[in-house]
Amino acid sequence: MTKIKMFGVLRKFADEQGHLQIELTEGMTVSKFKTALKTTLLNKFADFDPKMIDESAVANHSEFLGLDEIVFQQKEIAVLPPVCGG
Amino acid sequence: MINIVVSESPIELANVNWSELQLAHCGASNTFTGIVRNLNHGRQVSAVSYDAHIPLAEKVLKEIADEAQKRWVKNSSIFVRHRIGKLMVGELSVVIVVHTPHRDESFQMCRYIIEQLKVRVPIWKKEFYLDGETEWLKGHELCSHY
Repeated sequence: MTKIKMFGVLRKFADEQGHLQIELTEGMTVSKFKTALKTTLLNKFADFDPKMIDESAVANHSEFLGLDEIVFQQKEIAVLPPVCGG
Repeated sequence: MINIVVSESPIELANVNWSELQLAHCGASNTFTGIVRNLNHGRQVSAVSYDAHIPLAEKVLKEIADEAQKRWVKNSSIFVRHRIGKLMVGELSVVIVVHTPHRDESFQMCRYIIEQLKVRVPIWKKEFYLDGETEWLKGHELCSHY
């Protein structure tokens, strides 16, 4: 099972550890994953705005993933909203 | 030399291993320190909580440090600490130290690293206000970089 980790403002849509369950289908790309994630969150949360996922990058444990890269069978998927460190 | 850590450990300038950073040919040392302040956009801030994707944050900071060395001085030393977790007003959130042969490069490299950190490193900031409300601050999209 792939662990989906939500960060920053997206943590409120996950459990206390920031994790979320989404079914990943064979061959699923980052682009399709983002669409599935938006559908799931829209069904669950009244205050969810799909733009939050459109603006987010997707990564695994150590690398950013492009829209055409495959998320299926990744050990971990991170959803990264706009950043503001410092 | 590049030394980068993102962690919950408090940052103390007194604990920086300055001798490790010092290179015999370097005559300039520039330090940038980020501190949690008590006011943002007119709201009274009591604390800030930082969230991070630590492995990626450290990886991107290393890339930024490499870029700075390539652009200015290869044989320089760069030290970066970024705190995560809840910090009260007055606590240090980030420290960047750059040692170079001359002052101009140390100022430019230090500036480059903090400006790039703010737009490229997966770190997020939630402010806690005196009125009891909290808010995640808006930031820069990583999609435009990757």
